[in-house]
Amino acid sequence: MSIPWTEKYRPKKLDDIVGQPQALKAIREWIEGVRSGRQKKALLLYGPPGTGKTSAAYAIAGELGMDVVEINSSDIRSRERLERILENLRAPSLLTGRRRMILFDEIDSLPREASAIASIVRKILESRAVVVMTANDPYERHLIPLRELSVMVRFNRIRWTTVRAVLRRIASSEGVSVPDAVLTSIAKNCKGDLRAAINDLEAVSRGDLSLAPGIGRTFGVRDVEQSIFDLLRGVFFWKSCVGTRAMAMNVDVDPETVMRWVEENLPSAYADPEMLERAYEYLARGDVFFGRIVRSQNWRLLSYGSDMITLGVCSVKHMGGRVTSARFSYPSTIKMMARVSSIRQKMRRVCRRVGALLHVSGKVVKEEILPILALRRRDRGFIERLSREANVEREELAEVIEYFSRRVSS
Amino acid sequence: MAHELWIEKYRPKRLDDVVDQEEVIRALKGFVQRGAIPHLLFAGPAGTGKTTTAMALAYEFYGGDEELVARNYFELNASDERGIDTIRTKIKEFAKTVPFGDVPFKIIHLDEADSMTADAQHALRRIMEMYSGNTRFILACNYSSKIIEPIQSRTAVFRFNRIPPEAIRERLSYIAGEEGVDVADDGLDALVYIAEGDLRRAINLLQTAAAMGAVVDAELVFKVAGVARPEEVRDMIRLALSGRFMEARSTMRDLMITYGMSAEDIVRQVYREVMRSEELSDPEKAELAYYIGEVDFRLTEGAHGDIQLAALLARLVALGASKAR
Repeated sequence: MSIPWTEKYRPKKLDDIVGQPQALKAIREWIEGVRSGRQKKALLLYGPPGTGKTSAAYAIAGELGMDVVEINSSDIRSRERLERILENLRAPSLLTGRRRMILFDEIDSLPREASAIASIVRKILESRAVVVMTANDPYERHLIPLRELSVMVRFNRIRWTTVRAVLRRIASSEGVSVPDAVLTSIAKNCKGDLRAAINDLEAVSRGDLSLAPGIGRTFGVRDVEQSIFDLLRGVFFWKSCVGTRAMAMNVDVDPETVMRWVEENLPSAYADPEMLERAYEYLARGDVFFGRIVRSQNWRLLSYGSDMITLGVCSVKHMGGRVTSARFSYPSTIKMMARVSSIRQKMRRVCRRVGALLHVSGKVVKEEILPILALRRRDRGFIERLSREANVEREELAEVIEYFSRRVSS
Repeated sequence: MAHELWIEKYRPKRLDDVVDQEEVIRALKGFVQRGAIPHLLFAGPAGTGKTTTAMALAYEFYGGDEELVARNYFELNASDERGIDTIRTKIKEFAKTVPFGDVPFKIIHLDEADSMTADAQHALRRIMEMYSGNTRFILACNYSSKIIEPIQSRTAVFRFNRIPPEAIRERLSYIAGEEGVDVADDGLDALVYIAEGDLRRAINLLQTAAAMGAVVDAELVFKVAGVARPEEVRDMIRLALSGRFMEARSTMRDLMITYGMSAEDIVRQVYREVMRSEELSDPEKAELAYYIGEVDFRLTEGAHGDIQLAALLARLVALGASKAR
């Protein structure tokens, strides 16, 4: 069994990493800082899968002349093992005599361990050792402490022409002949993920060219989930806004949730009153479209609504006001609604039943009758009789009345 | 228990006892005497006696026999049901059996019929036709114009007017006397003022106030009526105009999500407060009136209240900033 091509052609040096000129520049600066002793922060490489983060981490160790000690999730969970590893860091490797570089790969896959990792990293940095981390999406809330300890470097999806050039090189050094059209379709289909493209190339050229026509349809289809954070970055920080439309289509959440995310983070990005007003108006127009879709089931309207909350909100930057960058936060309305939704359901049910008893609508009960019930909530006999006649459970009735009384007296 | 609530306890049983609405009552009594009732459409504001009249009509038509009423009179509220399908099912269930006792038909009272979409109303029309052999419909609505014409033309339409202040006063005094509640004169004035012709609201307010204090005076009535807390709406507007968007937005979210106020109610209150404001100029009020109207309309198109209101608040922030310059 030969080693997979993705390992065989993994870049060994920083110069071998393709399609990430800006990231490489930032990494070289960090390396300089480490060499001169000025740089005391860890390095956090982040970006979509298959864009070269882990390869870069190993190449960095090579440049620094260090050995990589990769710490995985089970190490972090076992305090004992971790202590031993950290103990050993101080001395150079017995085998090679070189210093070590600590690598935490894919830290965002360990949400519960985030604060533990942060305190470990802090300890390692204090002992003046070198730490590199990788992540797909570092903008999760739980990674805040790690972000503060790190220099962050972003890896982008790789352009398909660059991907195709790599595929050509691999094909020729493997001595396989793959039609250029196939290489092109693999490169376009991989959505910036070079590792996926190389895997596809290997599958196609290891005897099964018949797979080629199906690339992108039946073969090599991977769900590339555009993260909501990428979209928010686009909407709030890109100058050119048309690209955000396509991103919205690839985000794996429904448009209404996207709208909630944009809404949550809009006021902190656009503090300028005129920009805030205009951006909110676009958001509100998008909301109107979504409402019309629900009413009319006319899904053609979706793209207009989506344009409003991406292109529209993004375009406001052209007014020239300042854009403030901040950490994106989770929509608080979603949290609030989850918290009150069960009590509101009960409220509706109770009001409807009591209304039927009194020949009035649920709305009248909510507005006019609940105040009377609230004043008599300590009267057990009354509540008992009401629950029986209106055919609602006593506990549910009591809970609704109690909830109502609290909110009135607060 | 229902009788511990005064709107039920003092609900008139007979047509003659219905407060005000003399002309409507006279016509309905004619139907009872002839033993024939057409489909009816009652139109008028809340708390003017539509439901009470429908119940009294059934009571008299069934000769004051409680069991006949219970078996043959059925009531449902369109705004509390989940769409035309559940309404259809419930009506079918009730109408498919022959009337109980020796009576010509059953009576179905469908309240808030104008909350139904036009499509649902067309479906309702077909249901009415399907069961008109043994069933009469009494539809109630706030505005007859929101009822589709095919239904209007198949029903006898009766208008219910707001109850005049004197009649409300009289009724409240009577109830207060029966219940041994001490109501001050200015308390009665306040109840009449707030009720705006809605007798049910007046009675409910009286009962709430009576449970809260020994003497029902104006101060107590206004306090009790203030559960919707207009001062919070005022605060929200002030925060927005002074550029504190986040605080204004979280006040709004609290009102809506935590306190369960409807966006329509908040829009209406914002509208009232904006018009009353001394900080805003006439042109600013005119522009805001237009935009608030737009927001109100968007709500009817199914937009989210909190998003639309936040957009309105953002507009107030921009307006406040431009005034400051």
